[in-house]
Amino acid sequence: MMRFLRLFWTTLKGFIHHKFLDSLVDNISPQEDLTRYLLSSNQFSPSNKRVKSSAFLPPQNLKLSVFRIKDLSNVNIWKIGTDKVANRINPPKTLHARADFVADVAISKGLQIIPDKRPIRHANIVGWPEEKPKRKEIALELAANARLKINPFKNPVMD
Amino acid sequence: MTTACIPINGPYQSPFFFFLNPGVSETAEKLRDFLELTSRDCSISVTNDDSEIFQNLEGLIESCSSDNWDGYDAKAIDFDSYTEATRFAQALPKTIPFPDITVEPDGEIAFEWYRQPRRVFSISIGSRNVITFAGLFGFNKINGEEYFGDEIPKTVLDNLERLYSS
Repeated sequence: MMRFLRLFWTTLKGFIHHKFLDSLVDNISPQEDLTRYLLSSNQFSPSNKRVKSSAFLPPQNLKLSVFRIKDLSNVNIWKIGTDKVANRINPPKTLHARADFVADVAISKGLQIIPDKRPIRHANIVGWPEEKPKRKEIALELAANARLKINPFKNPVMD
Repeated sequence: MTTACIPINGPYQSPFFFFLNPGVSETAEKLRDFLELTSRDCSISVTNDDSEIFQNLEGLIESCSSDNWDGYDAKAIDFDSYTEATRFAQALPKTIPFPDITVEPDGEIAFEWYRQPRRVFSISIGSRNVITFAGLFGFNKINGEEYFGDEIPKTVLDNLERLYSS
């Protein structure tokens, strides 16, 4: 009986937690907080406490992966980064830091933020210009408006 | 016209001395202020020592030599870009402040000079002698491309001067 109750409680807790994490509306408001998880130490400078623009340049598919962090505790923000990003890569990577910023910085540059919930709270920033110089300029703007947070719970994987 | 004479080894030696049309200026006072400022900036952070740049480049080779080094499908470091970046570093005047060096998702190497969040200039070095650049100078912004031939393009040097001149 005790075992059943424990299992039931664990399942219920997981369900509630998942529902809470997934409780965001589909539209992203310009004031909403977003983060970009940084898995390479060359994308930020701890001494200057700044994010380098390269962290905000999209890959070839021109989709910049970000997460919505509205109403999440600091611990949960890091947990998503570890569980849903760093540990999902094969082989897993170290989550070094994250770059928090407000959606409006991207929206005001003509970009769109499309939530896809794969994984939970995930979104892509799309609408990047074809020309690299213009993408670089936008990346500089995003970096200039981002706040660097170093991961205090670094997962043990080394890259 | 006012003429200013600046002693090369004097107290106003600037990393951007070579950018200036020596001795020709609206006011010698303005020039002096500019040189003083750049000299002050660079005395703190200028350690443009080739060996340090090359050490950084080698470090990037180690950490970014395979695809997906950033966890977001970045391309491995482009070795032609690495060669060009080495050539760029060698051509960089020794007096220019040491940049942050990084790899971008397309595998190109970038040099980034940072003073403040909105005073930053970044260049990427492609494999085909093309330098892509962008900069924020307060409310002003710039971006573009330049051909990297035998020497560093004037546009790049001009923007570095702009970054460190105010």
